[in-house]
Amino acid sequence: MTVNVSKPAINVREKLAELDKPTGIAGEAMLRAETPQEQFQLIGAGRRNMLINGAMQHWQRGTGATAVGSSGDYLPDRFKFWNSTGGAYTFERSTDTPNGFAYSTKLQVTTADTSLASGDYSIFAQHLEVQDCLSARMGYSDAQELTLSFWVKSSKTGTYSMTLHKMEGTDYFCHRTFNIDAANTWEYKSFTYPPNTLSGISANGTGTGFRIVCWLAAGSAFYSSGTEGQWSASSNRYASNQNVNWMDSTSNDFYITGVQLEVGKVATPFEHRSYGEELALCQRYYYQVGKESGSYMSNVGFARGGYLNLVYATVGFPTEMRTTPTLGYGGTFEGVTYSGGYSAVTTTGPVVGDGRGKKVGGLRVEFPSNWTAGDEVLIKDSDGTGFISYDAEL
Amino acid sequence: MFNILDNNHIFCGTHNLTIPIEPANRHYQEVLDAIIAEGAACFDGDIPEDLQAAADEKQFNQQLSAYRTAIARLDQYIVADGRAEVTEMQPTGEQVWNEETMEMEDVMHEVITVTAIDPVEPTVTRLVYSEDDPMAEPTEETIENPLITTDNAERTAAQAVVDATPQAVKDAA
Repeated sequence: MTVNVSKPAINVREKLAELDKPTGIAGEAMLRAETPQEQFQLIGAGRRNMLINGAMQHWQRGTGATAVGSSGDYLPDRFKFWNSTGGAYTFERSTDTPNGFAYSTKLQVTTADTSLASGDYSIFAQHLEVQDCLSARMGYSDAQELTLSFWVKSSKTGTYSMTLHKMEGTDYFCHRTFNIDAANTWEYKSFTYPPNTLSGISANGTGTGFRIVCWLAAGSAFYSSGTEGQWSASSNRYASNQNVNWMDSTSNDFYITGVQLEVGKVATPFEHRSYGEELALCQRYYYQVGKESGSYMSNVGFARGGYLNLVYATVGFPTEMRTTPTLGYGGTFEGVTYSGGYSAVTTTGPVVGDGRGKKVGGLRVEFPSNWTAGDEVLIKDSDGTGFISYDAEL
Repeated sequence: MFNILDNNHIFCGTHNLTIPIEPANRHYQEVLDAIIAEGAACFDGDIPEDLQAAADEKQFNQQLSAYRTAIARLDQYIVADGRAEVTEMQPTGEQVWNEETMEMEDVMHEVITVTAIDPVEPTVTRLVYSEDDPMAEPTEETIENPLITTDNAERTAAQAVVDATPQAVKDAA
């Protein structure tokens, strides 16, 4: 028996024409990608920014102009600033930003240093915890490129350096440069660091894995003798010898925001995380209560028999801190009790740590007069100046 | 100025900080740095023995690291002299039968293990323009090759580190 089967006709010419469908540059890049990982990076899927507070949203310590010291100071969360020159500069929060950002960090030279000594430097950096550096796969044959992008504006044009400094174990450095082409104009910069196959970072650890360092001024001791964009263990490969001396005039300012470090060789748009999410990331390294008049600053404390001018209390941290933190304090506190009737006493401390931990901090506040044994005491910010801080920064 | 608060904490009265005795805490490391740099002058009262021991250990490790880096720098070739080629005989992976010894023997070949590098030119010539007369023809000036200058400076600095390193640290390297 013979069965006849009919199929719809196919226009071969038409099908071939469909293959010629234009895909655009991005589409072609996707088609050219050799692995799902490359495609993942091309579409910018998942969490991208390895840095925290790149948009300069969080300023738990304060926002006003503050002088930068030689041993390193924080003001915007997670970014640390140093000044070890004969000059001086301040840092502060600014609302001068490119579109899409609320804040930037503004730096302003307040005392000029026109002639840097060889060991002088002005820098700022963000340190990344060892266990957050895994995606860079440093030290392996499949180590990844890292791309840094940011918005910058300065009255001082010229060449600046950004160094990726691997710090765990043997120090390794790779510097790249960027130019501020036009004075007082927001410019978007991005560049890629090559894979570091030379030296690795542990899988676990709470110390610094690597840091990204911006050089505002570099004495000759920090000039790199190496080529830009090459990894080296040589300790003199910090900054380009073409680096400007940003400290040379009190007219010099410097603004930066939208800082993003990501795996891959393409800078993707800045990853805006939610305000609360970014704050929680910051609070692993620094947490502050107070500076809010009348606000409560601790769980209920108690006056200890035998030391009735002392109140013991605890502060629960919103997230586990990186390590046992340093307790700091300042301003005026108010102790309030309702035990046996309302009573309030103000003090400026001292407030010292009592007990230790990464999830809850203990503290002891000294008052100028005695409480009654067993009094339950609430610690409050008296006038908007009182604060307690826990610092576990790198 | 620091003082011991209790077994777990150091108090810094200058900055109102209670610093835990915890190596991962940056302020604790700064206390050790202060003890290394200033000794007893940074402490109110005697420095506790375990804290002094921690500072001594940190200083030892810093000196050891600096010493190793300096030695590695001095081991690099002198750019003014260049570097000679070094070869050695290595097995190719093949073997042949030796009828005299009646055993299989490795086939050897010469392999360059260190490539030669020529010395750089001792001097370079550069054009110097007159600051007083921008229109004047530039003059030529011969100076030491900057690569040699940098190499010499880095070697001198490395040698200074080696010379200043205590013998106990050198022995541990």
